[in-house]
Amino acid sequence: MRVAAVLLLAAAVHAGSLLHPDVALLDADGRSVLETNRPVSPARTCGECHDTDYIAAHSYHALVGLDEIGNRGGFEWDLGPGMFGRWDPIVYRRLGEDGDLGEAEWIRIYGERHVGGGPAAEAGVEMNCFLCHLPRPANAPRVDALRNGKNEWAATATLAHTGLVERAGNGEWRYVKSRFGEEGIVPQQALGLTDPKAANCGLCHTQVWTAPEPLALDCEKLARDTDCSGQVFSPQRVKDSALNLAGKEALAQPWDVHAERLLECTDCHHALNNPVRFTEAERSRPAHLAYDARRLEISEYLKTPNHHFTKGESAQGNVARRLDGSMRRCEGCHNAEATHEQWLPNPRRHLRTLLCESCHIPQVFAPARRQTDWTVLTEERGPRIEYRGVDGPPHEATSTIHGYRPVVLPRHQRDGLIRHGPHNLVTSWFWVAGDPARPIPQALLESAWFDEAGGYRPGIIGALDENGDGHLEGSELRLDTEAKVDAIRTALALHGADRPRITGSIQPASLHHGVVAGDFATRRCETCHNEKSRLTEPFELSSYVPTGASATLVGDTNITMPGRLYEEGGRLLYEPIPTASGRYVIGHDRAGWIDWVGVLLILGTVFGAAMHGLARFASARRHDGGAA
Amino acid sequence: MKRYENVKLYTLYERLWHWVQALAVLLLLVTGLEIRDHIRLFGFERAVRLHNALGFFLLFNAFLGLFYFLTSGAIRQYVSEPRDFASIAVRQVGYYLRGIFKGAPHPVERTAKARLNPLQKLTYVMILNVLLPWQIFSGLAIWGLERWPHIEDWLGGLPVLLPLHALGSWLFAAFIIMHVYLTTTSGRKPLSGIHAMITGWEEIETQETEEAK
Repeated sequence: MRVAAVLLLAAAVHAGSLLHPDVALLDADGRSVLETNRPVSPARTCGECHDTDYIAAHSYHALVGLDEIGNRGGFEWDLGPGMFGRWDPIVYRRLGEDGDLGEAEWIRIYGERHVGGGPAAEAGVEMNCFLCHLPRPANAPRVDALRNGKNEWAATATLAHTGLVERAGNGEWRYVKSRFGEEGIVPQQALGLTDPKAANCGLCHTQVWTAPEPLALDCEKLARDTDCSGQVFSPQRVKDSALNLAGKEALAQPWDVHAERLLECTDCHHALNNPVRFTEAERSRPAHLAYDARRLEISEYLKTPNHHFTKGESAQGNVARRLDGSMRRCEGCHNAEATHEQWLPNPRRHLRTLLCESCHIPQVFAPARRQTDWTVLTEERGPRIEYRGVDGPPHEATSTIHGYRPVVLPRHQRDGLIRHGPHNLVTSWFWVAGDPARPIPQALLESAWFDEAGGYRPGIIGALDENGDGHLEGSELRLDTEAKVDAIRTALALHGADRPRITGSIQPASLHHGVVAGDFATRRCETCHNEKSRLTEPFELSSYVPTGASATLVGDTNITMPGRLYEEGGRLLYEPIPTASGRYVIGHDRAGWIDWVGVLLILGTVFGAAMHGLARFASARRHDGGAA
Repeated sequence: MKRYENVKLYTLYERLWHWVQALAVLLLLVTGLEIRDHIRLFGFERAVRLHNALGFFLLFNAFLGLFYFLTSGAIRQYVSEPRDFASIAVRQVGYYLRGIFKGAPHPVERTAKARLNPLQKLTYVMILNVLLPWQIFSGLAIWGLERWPHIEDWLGGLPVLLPLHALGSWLFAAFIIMHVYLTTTSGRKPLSGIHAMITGWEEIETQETEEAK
């Protein structure tokens, strides 16, 4: 019976849109929206069958760190580790009593990547079930509603593609009664409610492309994870994409092999209590129990699906760290030892010290952010941003994309192992002021840089305009001399900054998507076991360094950067040194003094034998001559 | 006048054992150099597999040799007699430093039952009881990290084991050079020693005849 129930649930998972019943769209008071013309309340609508209060309280996607305020963040001024509370140098604005970002503005700025509920609940942004459970959620209208402060309408706007709602001439949303069934019931065919697909996740996380058309990146506004790491989740072959990618015709691998094999994000990042997929974590599983047969009943699960999803241990996944390692990793599905022991020497040792991604994500084919420089402001009043893996701005069609080789860094896992995996490193430069130091508010930066007319202040132009044309071009926006730094520092101090100084941070982004199968993975031992090991390739952190500034790794990550930071040709580089973290790469690392001792020993032996032999030869000839 | 006698010094098994072991050590040194990226010959992966296989073969052959030397009594060749050992060793050093250039006779008379001089005995004791076990132990530990990862905590892991193993390899390489050179000093002709290790027979200098006196 229980097996049948689980099978039924599995079928439901894959055919959710068929099995979900028709629903009545209700407002916050539980009345039909057709009657009241008020915004749809997902909590009330879905709450008819599901415990939406439980779901909202058990979702780190909704809470985004609200329940972790007070926990350690990446910067000393952080309120917590999540998107709500942790300062993001890419967004720049900062929450907190001494910050420059209120909660209402937080919703306006962060709402595009937030499902609602949690810190936004009080402001009327309910956890938006439609965003993840509609096959085609209308995200742009949803974001638009949030940006315009129409928080209650955000969920309703998400229904725009269903035809159930439409914009009236005054910009308000109204319901299309003809799309509703009898008594205001919405047929399932109209909504198509289903379990989340990769495209749903891609709205906030990574660029997802499942369309048959050639893949194109929205480089004007890259999805956050794609922006920071270059990861793309698509079954399409790289060479079939529309990107201006160097050597594209030879790139026959898919953007992600798991996408190619039709996996969805939820196959790995599933609800913690999903009875089909639930596996007890190794660290909490009693030693005597290999498999716990006790499962939630389907009805229990559907009533209270835990929306804390299983997660890995990404360097940047700071929220809900307690759930790190709760998902099945590669080895949870693949028998890596069996497939590697045929050709890979010491497979267990490799698998113990390396994440599979180290070899199976050898190259990233999309641009990824390298640096964000808030020490200068562009005409758009934003930071100067540079990407790696592309010649020129990534959104320009003339820019050639080369991709990049990620840097392999040690990660400290929950299971106590240190395993190396591929990462991008995003450097941020910014001004801080006061004691204790805090990022200088964006408004103060803008007032120091721009005059009332909206142009650069003459003093700023005078300090940075290298070619003397009276304008600041992109390449001139860098504080690479003491004089330039002094000029901006003085301007900031004049506008109220207390002892402004430049500092930098390095944010790692773990790569777990963009995986390729064995044929395209790193297979040559010499790639790493070589004097020029791939594991020690220098990685560019910044194309320039503001004079006098230094960058440090953010404080809340589980990776370390053993090695050295150094400047070369004005660039900031990081060279990984495995031995600095107790690792020894055969073929690359060696104790130099031992080789010197060895070589001297050999030379000494050869020299001694040669001299002795020559002396014997000479004395023998002398004796032979005497005898003659 | 010197008199030479053709004496059988090495049995077939001893010669076979010696050359097999020599070949294994040489190949271990070559593959070791490749693993450490000093040379390119087989490719890293094959070099690793060959190195591991050769290491186990050398270990196996060492045990076979030990068994043979113990059961045949040939182990006595390597056992030094304490009496006069030091003085004979000093005379042997003196021979290498002076006597050999003057055509002086070897201070130690070689026989089929006593092939080695004190310096050779000392060297082989060090090689077989220190250096070879050192290499075998460190090599096994490096290999064993794959099977028993917890030994990394006891032994310090690759950062400790590999440099030790490399140092042992350099010492082995230096020994082989010195060993080959010294074979040229032991016989009637420079290649007599190597010839003997191939054929088993060598012309050995015996006592002077009455007529010569």
